[in-house]
Amino acid sequence: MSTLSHYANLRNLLLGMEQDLKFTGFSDIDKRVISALVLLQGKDSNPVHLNAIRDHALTASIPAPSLYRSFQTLIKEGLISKVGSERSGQYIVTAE
Amino acid sequence: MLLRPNNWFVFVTLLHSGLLIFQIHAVQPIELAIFGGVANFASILFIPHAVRVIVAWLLGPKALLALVPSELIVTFCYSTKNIYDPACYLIPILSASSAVIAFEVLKAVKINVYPGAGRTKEWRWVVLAGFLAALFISTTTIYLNGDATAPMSSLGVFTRSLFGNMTGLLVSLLVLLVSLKYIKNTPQL
Repeated sequence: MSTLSHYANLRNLLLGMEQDLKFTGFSDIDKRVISALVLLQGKDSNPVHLNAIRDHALTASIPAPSLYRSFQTLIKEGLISKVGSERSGQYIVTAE
Repeated sequence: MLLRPNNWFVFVTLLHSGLLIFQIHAVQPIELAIFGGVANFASILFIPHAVRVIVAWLLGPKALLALVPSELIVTFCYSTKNIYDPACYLIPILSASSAVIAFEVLKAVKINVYPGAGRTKEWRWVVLAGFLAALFISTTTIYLNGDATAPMSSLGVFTRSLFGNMTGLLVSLLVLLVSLKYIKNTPQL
């Protein structure tokens, strides 16, 4: 068995531990997306358009597919929600 | 380094010896300062146990080729025991073999915990094997040490040793988990 498969087995073991201990944190991309949303939303809690998020310094370097995946994760976790129709492209932070 | 093939023997030997030396020079002095002489008999945070368990889980009995020599070398370098005392050889050999024995005992009773056996929640089984190994080390060490632990009750040393091995394993797994998570989130790595 190669060293690479030892590494894979170890990662798999730790993943199980991570899930059992509810240790699954958000990825760096998720953290950057939520931070950009909070900053863009401001105190008035206005919905933020996708283009504004794409242009923000925190998220500008994130590829589009990763950005959309991150939106899905954050919506699923109840931290943000979509405002308006399915194609409105507007998001709002719902977490306190 | 992790991705280079066939270097496990050197890696495990260095890691195990390094952690045993770290235990002697860093953890033990702190424990001695806090708890006094009792720390000479058993540690409450014995990190090398984690290496024994994880390596035995990954490599199986082959792990003994790296664990036993490194344990013997470090013991001979630091032990104050009489070298003609069989315990001087038996304790390090049995300590290094404990995790492999635990995994093989589980396998013998039809509980194969090795990677690829298809068990869910693998880490719980690995911790169980670690507990069995700790139980084995604690019992055999007290038996082989005989009167050497006289200032402290055998039960006290046994409990402390069992606790120390388990905290060493769990803390190391958590450190590994956090470290790998951090590396995963660092693009340049």
